[in-house]
Order: sequence, then C-alpha cells, then structure tokens
Amino acid sequence: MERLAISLLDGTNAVLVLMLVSLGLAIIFGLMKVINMAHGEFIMLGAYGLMALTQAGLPFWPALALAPLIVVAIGLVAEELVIRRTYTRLLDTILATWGLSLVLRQAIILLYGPGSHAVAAPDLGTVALFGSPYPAYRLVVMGLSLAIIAGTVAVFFRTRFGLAARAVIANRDMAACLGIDTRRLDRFTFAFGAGLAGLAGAVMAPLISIDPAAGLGWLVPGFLAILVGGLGSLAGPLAGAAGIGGLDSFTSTLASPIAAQLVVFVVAIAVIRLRPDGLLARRRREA
Amino acid sequence: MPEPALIIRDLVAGYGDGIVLDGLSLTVGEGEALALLGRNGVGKTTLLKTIMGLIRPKSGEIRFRDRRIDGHPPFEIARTKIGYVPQGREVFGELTVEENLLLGDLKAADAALAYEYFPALAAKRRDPAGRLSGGQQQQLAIGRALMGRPALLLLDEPSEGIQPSIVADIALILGRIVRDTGLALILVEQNIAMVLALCTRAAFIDHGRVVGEETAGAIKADPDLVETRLTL
Amino acid sequence: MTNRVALAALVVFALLPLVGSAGLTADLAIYFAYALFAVSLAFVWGQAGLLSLGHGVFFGVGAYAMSILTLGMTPGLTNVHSTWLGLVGAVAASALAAGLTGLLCFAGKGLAGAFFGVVTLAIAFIAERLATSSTWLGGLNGLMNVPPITLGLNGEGRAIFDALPLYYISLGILAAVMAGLSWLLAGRFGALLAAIRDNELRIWSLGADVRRIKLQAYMLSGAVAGLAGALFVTQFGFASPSLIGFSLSLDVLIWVAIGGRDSLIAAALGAIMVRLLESRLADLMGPVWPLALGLMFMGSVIFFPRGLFGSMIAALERPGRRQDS
Repeated sequence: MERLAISLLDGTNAVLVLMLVSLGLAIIFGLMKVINMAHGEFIMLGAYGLMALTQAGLPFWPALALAPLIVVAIGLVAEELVIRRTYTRLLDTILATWGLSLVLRQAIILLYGPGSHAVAAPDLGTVALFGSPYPAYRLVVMGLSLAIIAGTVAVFFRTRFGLAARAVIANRDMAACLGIDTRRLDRFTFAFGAGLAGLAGAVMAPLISIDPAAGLGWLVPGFLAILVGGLGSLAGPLAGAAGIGGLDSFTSTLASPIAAQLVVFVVAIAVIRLRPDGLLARRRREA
Repeated sequence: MPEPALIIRDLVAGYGDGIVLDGLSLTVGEGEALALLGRNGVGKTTLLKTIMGLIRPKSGEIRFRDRRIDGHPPFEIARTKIGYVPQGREVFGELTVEENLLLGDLKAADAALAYEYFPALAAKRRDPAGRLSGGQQQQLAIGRALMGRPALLLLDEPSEGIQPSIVADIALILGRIVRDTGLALILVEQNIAMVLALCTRAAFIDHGRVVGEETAGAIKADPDLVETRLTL
Repeated sequence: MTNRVALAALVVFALLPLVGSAGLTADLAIYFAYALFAVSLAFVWGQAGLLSLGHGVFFGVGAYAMSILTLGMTPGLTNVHSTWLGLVGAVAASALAAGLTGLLCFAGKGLAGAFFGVVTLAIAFIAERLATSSTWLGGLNGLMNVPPITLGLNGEGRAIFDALPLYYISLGILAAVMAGLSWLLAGRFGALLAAIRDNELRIWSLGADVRRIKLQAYMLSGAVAGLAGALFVTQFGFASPSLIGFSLSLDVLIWVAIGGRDSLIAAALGAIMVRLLESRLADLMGPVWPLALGLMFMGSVIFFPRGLFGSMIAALERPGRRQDS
C-alpha cells in the first residue's frame, strides 16, 4: 500500500515536470511554428547551471532562481543567431535547432566531461505521507511545478501580453496589422520557453543523474505529449503530458522502464492515428 | 484639396515573382474618403496589403504624412496610425469580442471607444467572436481597427456577405466615425450605394494602375458611369 | 550536371587506389557504405521532402539482419551462413521496417512533415533501447565476429578480406544503386516525388495516391539504407545498438546537410568528406571535433541550405545565373 502511494507521488512528480516541458515546447511551436529540438538541452543546461552555481558557493535556493535565467540568456542568443535566420523555412528550423542541440551537448561535454554528475538536494527532511517518510524536497518540486504552470496559464489568459500572444498564435499577420511587434514577441516567447525548460531542469537536478545526453529523454516524451494532447489550446499539451507521463510511470513501475517507453510510444501513435489533431482539439468553427 | 495624407508613386508589387501592381500612383488627402473600384483581380486588395506592409513592394514609394512607409513591417505601419479591416474580417474567432477590441489598443483601459459606435457589440462582449453573425463580425473588425485611433482606415469589401439592411447600418456608423474623427478612408467596394454614402471621390483600377478618377457627384448623376469606366 | 559530376567522381574514385595508400583504400571502402546510407536519406528527404530524423533504424536493421543471417543465428535455420541470403534478408528486413513506419505515419491524414521527423526519432530511440536490452542481439556489445563477404552460396568459398577488392565491391554497389535511383528519379516516379515535396495539393489532381507513393519512396529508401548497413557490417565485423539508433541517425543527417540534400551525389560526397575529415581531425582535435562538426552542421543549415557540394553543383550548372529558392 505504501509502495503504491510512493509510486503515485513519484509519478505525479514526473507528470508535473513533463507538463512544464510540454508547455514550453507547445508555446514555442504555437507562436513561432518552431520545433525546438534543443529543448532537452535547455533542460539539461538548467540542471548543469544549478550544479555550477552551487559548486561556485551559492546556496541552493538562490542558485535555483538563477539557473533558469542563464538558460534564458542562452535561449535569447540562440533565437537571434539560429531561429531568426531559418524560421521562414519550417523544416530547416528543425535541423537548425537539432544542430544547436548537438552543439550545446558537445559544449557541456567539453566543460564537464561525458560522465554523469549529481547535485545534493537541500536537506528538508521528510514528510510522513501514507505512513511512510516522503522526501520533502520532492513535494517542493511538485508545488513549484504546479505554481509555474498555473502562473503561465494566468499570464496567457489574464494579461494583455498573453492576449497579444494568443492573437499571434491565431493569426500572425492580422495581429501584426494591429500593431503587435511579432518579432519581439517571438524573442520573448522563445526566451520564456527556454526559461521554463531551464527551470524544469534546475528543479529536477537533485533528483536525476545529470549527464549531457539526458535531455533527449525529455524531448521525445514532450513532443509525444503535444501530439497526443493537441495544440489547439494550452490544455492540450498539459493533458497530453498527464496521459503520457502517467502511462509511463505506471508501466515503468509495473513492468520496466524499457517496456514503458514501448507502451507509451505505441499508445501515443495509436491516439495520433485516430485523432490526428490531438485528443483535445476543438473542431474549428469557421467564422 | 485637403493636405495629402497618403502619397503613392509608381508602386510595383506582387506575390512571389508575379506583378500585380504595375506602376500605380495615387493620392489620398487628410480626412478624405476615397473609393477604389475595379473588377476582381485588378489589384485592389493587393494595394491595401502593400500599403499595410503585408507585401513588400518591388519598387515605388509610399509616403504617409511625409514619412516613407514602403518596406516597413506591418506593425510599424499600424503604429503610424493606419488601420486595416481586411476582406473576410479576420476576427480572432476563439477570442471574445472584448478581447478582439482590446487587441486594437493593448494599452486601452477598456473598449468604450468601440462600444460608443457599435453598441450592439457591448451586449456580446464576452461571446467568442466566432459565434457572431457576418454583420456583427464586420462591426467588430471595424471597431477593432478604430480602437487604434487611425488617421487612415483601409477597408476591403466590408459589405461582402452581409445583408443589405446591415450594410446600410454599417455605412451610417462609418459616416459618423468619419465625421467625428476626421479620419481618411480608402474603401474597396462593389456596393455602389455604400460608396456613394461615404466617399467623395472614386479611383478606377485596372491592370494594376489607376486608370481614371471620378467624383461621387458625377457618379450619382450618371449611374452608368461606373459600368462604363470598368469595361473600358 | 549532377550526372556529369557523379560520373567524374566515379572515375576519380575508380582510379584512386592506384595513387592512394592502402589505409586510405580500406577506409574509403567503409565510407562508401556510409555514402550509400547518405544517398538513402537524400532520396527520401531531398527528393520526396520527408525529413527522417531516425533513419539510422534502417541501417541498423540491415546490419543486424545481415549479422544474424551470416552468423547462423537465424532461428530454425542455423546452418545458414550465406552472404547472398544475408544481403537479401537485410534489404527485405529494412524495407519492411520502413513500410511499417510509413503505414504508421502516412495513413489517415498523415503526419505533418515536422512531426513525422519527431516520430521517426522516437522510433530510433526506442529501437536502440530494445537492441541494447535484447540478449539475443548481444545487448550493449552487439553481435561480433560477423563474417566478411563470402562468395560461395552458403558461407563457403572465397572470403573477401583485402582492402582493394572490398573497395571496388563497395564502390560498385554504391554506383549501381545511385544509377538505379537516378534513373527512377528521372522518370515519372521522380516527377511525382517532386510534386509531393513541393506542393501536395497539386498532386491530387494528377490522380496519384500520395500515401502510396510516399510509402514506396520510404520503403525504397529503407531498403537502400539496409543494404548500406549490411555492406558496412561485413567490413566492420560487428553490429551494435549504436548502428540502429539516434547518434548514427544524427550523423547521416549531418553528412547530407553538409554535402547537399538536393542530389544523391552531393549527399554521397558529403558523407565521404565528413568521415575523411573526422578520421584525420578527430584525434587531433579531441573532444572539440564533435563541437566543430555541430557548428558546421548548423552553419550549413543556416547559410548553405544546398550544402557544400550542392552549392558547387548549382554554381557549375549556370555560372552567374541566380537560382530561385
């Protein structure tokens, strides 16, 4: 019984982080029509950033706040140098960001070597849940993830900035004709997506093995979540992440991680075949 | 003749490698309402899109209030107080009426300016724009452009697909707006009644150029004038 | 022009062993297998517009199939060691894999180009994990001691170890397949593929079944990639999960992007050039080499979308005339 509860909690943890990842990917794709193949590396850069900052002597929590900002800076540079030059050629942005992913990975290897590293979680003790001790830090991770997701949704639906973003997503040309600076919005959006990824990585850093190739393990599930959930709204990627993440945790615990990957993939493809626009795609009502 | 607001000289533009506007020249005065008449495909919509920056001209010049705007991106042109109501309205269907209007001026406290001229919209402010009728969407699109307090408004076939009584209502409201705000207007329209209600001058477009001009008075006096001009 | 360049390249490579070192000859013999792999990707990407991010799967399936068949591992047919059967099996297996992938992705509304790429990547990812965890396939180490090309009907007879004959066999296969694909592309099939790549709407009016053509192109590409994998493994001697997965998929993408996706010869030359550079520079530059390669890749996508050899061929085509994008 306890093991089930722990598994559920861990699973929820994984789902929430996957939601963060999918949200970032979906926002970048929805607004800029860019498939950011370097998203996994942005996550890893967040983790490495946290590691570097704590190694440099910064206490954990300030490092956690700062690490995503490092990734935001990298994202802004990438947007200017790479995305801006290719986003008229859709397929080439995939290649360009795929190349960026490789370059970032190799840069990390040059700085930190190909092996894996670890960062210690802050000692917050444990919380008694369902009769057994559960690490408090993991609860913090869940809480933070929820807060960020809620915050993102709020920004999108309650602010003028979010309104502008939703307009650009719906009809870029018309939004531009209303005076919205779509280029600046692109930069903001990409930086925001990178920041979300960096935050996910930084927050997860004490819980995972930090190595250069780990980012890819998030990219594929992140995209599958978007494909399954649909891109019509913010709810789509979140629902997709919940489904994919949940299925993955569940199968992983029941069988094995490799079986989980296979099952998740097969189910995802089946869903996409049956509903090519995703589960939550709204039927478009033509004006 | 009022102060020239928009001066277009020898404009050449088109899609891809094609040429649609072939050395078009036109002047619109401050506060003037000009109609663009012509058969389908002669370049009226292309002209509006080029003024708005959606199409980059291959050569020629567009000046608005003595500043060159050709080659600038649409958002900059919108910010020089040129508003655009495209063919087909292009309202944001998933956003509410109020959200659509606020997009016309993201800094505005509210959409009162638009509601003043289009009170019917106020009643539907929380409805998704996609659920409105054609006539209401047209009002929404105009109201949205109005929020930006334009000095020049570009209207592309506003009467298309709307029943005549609503068209008449919209024409009346537009007339009020023009009188109240003194904005200039370029109206692409097939509906001559609307043209006569709003405009003082009409330019005839053919093969990507202005081939003639008439005053509204002349057209009113001779209803066949438009037909003649268009078939030449 | 591409045909002339291809012919010229063939002549150069045919004569190269006369002046090159034995080491170079041996290296190139393997690089021709890589070049064949690059050709398979250029065929499906440059000609049909299908960006396959996980193309390594088909190379790997071919390599593993060849290994299984020539090592006598085939369940129920353990006395089969035939090179010939291995080649047939490799091509069939990889074509089948491509067919399954294609059915998955092209059926129904079909996956938009970008997401198709991500799905193929996911497949490569999973395939590599499966191969690594399969004890029958040798797990992480893979299958070793894969026999070289043996001319007899069932693994007896003359085995080809020497660099020079391997060189000409590889070159011969590469040239023959390229010629065959070029011939296909020059005909109706090529025109249909171009229509798909450029604008699918037009092709409905040509009365062609878009999905079926995509499937055919993808299976053909998979078959060629499998052949390349089989050819590779007979020289390399072992098949490992790295051949089926993500890093080789990325490698071939880099070769084709740098060489040129628009023509088969540009892609082939790209593969050979990058591998040659790598063998000479990787030791010198150490861990900086992959970074440099990544930068070259990005640079070519952003600034030279036609690729190095693609740009050169375009320049030769009409010197001074600007190509339309």
